[in-house]
Amino acid sequence: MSTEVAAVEMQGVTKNFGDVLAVDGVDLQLRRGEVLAVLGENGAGKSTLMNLLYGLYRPSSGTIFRNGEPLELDGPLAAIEHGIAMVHQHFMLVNALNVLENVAIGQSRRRIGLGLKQIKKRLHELCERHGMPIDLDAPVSSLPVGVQQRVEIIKALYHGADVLILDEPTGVLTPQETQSLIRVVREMAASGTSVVFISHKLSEVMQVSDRIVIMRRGKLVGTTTPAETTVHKLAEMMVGRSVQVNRANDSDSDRIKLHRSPALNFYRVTAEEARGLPFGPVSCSVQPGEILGVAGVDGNGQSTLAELAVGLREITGGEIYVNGDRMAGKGPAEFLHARVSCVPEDRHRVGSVAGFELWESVAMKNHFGSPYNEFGFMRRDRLLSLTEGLIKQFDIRTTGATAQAQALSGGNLQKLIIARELQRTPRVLIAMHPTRGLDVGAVEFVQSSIRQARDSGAGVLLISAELEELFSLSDRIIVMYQGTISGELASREYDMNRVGLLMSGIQPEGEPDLSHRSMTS
Amino acid sequence: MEIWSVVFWNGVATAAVRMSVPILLAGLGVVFSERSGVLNIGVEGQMLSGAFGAFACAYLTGSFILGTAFGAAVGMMVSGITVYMCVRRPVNQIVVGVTVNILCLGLTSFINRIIFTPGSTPPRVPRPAVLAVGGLESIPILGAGFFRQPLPVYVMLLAIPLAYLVLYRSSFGLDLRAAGEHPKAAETMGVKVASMRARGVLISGAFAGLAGSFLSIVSLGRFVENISAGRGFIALAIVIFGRWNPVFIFGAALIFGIAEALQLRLQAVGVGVPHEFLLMLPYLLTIVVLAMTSKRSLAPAALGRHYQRE
Repeated sequence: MSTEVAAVEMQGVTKNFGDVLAVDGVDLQLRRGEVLAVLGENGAGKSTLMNLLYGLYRPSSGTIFRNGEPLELDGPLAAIEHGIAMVHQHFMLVNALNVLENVAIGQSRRRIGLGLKQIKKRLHELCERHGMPIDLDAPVSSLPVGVQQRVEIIKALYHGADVLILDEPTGVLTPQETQSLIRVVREMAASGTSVVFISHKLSEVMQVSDRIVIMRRGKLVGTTTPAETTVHKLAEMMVGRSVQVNRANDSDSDRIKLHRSPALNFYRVTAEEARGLPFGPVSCSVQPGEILGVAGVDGNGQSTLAELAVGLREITGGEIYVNGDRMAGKGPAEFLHARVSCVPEDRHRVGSVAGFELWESVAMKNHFGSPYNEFGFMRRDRLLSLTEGLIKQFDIRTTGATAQAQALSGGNLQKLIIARELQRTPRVLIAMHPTRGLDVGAVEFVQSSIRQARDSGAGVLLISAELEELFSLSDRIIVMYQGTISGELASREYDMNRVGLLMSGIQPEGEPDLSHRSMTS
Repeated sequence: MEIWSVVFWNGVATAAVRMSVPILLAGLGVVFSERSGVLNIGVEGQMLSGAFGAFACAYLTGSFILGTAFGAAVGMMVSGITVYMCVRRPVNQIVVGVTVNILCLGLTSFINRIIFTPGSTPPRVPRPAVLAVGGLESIPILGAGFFRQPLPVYVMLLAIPLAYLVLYRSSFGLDLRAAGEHPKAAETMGVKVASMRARGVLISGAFAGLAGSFLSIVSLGRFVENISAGRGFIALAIVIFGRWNPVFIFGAALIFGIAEALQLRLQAVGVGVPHEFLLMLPYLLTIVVLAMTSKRSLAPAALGRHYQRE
């Protein structure tokens, strides 16, 4: 194999943005028909490296070779012409159009008509050859996420790609969809396509790849194969120190005493449809001192659940109680007063205001009432010292309380938001994807803060797409599917396969079958 | 004349279709602009400029065809402002549109007074003669509406299937819509988003100019200040009501045509309502219709948002 010309070869590729060295002297080979996993933490340089290959950026130095020829790309379009395609984390599909039309975009400089018939014929062949059934006439918006991803892949193949970059492809998939994607990827590799599989999920990488390269701080720090390594070794290489993978759940269900009034109680709650998805009826409750995990594929009603729990949306039926108080018809201010805290999904746009200084961001939920408000005026001095205190307590890396929120890194901003929310000693904490996009250090900090909130008596509703996170933190898990709860699991019943089935709306029959625990091994 | 007579309603039908044409044309143009992702609030000003340009040209050259073409060209030129400000540069599309409208109202009135001295008898151009389609015109109401019109009405109605074909059956239409729904995705497929949007706005301007020509040299045979009288804004409303679809937009334009024709006829017949109230009818209808429009908007996803290449 070594005598063969590589599909892609990178020699000493470096990319810097100002003073920041995002990719540092990377030498990399992608062989024909191989699946190469690129593993690394957020910010390790994986995406930048791939954007270099995809023509979005130009390398500051170094050369990329394609089939032995030096490659100069001036944009993604040129990359496609060279048979290099990328499936982005956020799909590049037009929801309002159907699958065929999506593939037909971009022909207007070559032809007048659409030629949908020929496209359909070619797509049918490709779908069949790669075992990916797709309804070509369906509007993209009506397709499940897993199928949309197939559309992206088929689109790339249609345009003649034989180097396919998949950027964190499993982030939005159920475990079952992940398995089917892995089959498709192996199938494509077998028929000669080279696949770059970017991921930070170790078990998937072990399953899918022929070779694994590990990136850390812009550098390639190791190359290995699944046969030569283990999940633990990979994790160590990725982080650069030894870590515990799959922390055991340290909670035991007995610890939760049965309170007469749950911290948060949903009783047959329904809400108006959001993004075409009806919500409810949903009944669930969170006890004080309990973490209730909410699993589900993104967009199955979790956001609505969270918005209802903080009063951002109105219920159309049922009842919501916080500490036994009826909350129907009340707005966010009343929920705040009932000491409901929230770590929102979008920390940049919902959790903070980019142009505000840190103390102002902290003030956003503390500006009413004493001691931070007197006669309608904010007490800047007290808010400043409160903020300074939080910065110290939560180890937020910043220049001080008057720094702008937008100057903080993702992890530090998240710490600031969590600090603000926990400082109010909440009775209910709603945490939405609290660790999404954070590096390992920040993830650990956020998770331990959530545990602390729980231990000090808050009822926590934790919404996350990372099943491992849910398993390790939650005392109980409910699974959401299409706006309703499709199942509930006590901590002893946690099982990837079972949750996966519930996430796709399939009821597992009888008790969980432990022989199916293939996902994590 | 008796309100419940066929003659009365025949008159309403003929006027309704004729009144709906300028709104329809402007609306069809707005579809191109908005489907590409650009709000074309300036449609009112483009229409007004087109109306003046068409009249001035038709009056000075004596050619109806030249007048119409020049009207469309003037509309397109005015829309060039929107292209520069909103496509090439990231200026707020609503503010630009409003500014364009005010500018055009002032400019057309000003130039009109310079060229055609006020006080004397207002200059006129001959209006195209009614061309009845033999046999069909005698069908009550429908015949009066669709088969007893001047030639330009028939020609302009052809714009509906044409717009439909271009939008839904051509590569250009698909790329244009992709630019308005998900510009980044379009860009990765090789679509030049800025160029698509520029073309969408220019097409919109040309349509608006054509609509203006129709007002001045077909309907009225002369130019009066602010001849468009808010019809561009009504066009923006019917595009929403007609869900950005040329066929539905024709339906919506007809409803407004009927409202306008009705108020004219009722004024002529002399019902016991002050004519100011009747004049309000189409505008009132706009508000009612918009209030009824379904909450689930079918607007292009990236409408009104500037797209910056990375």
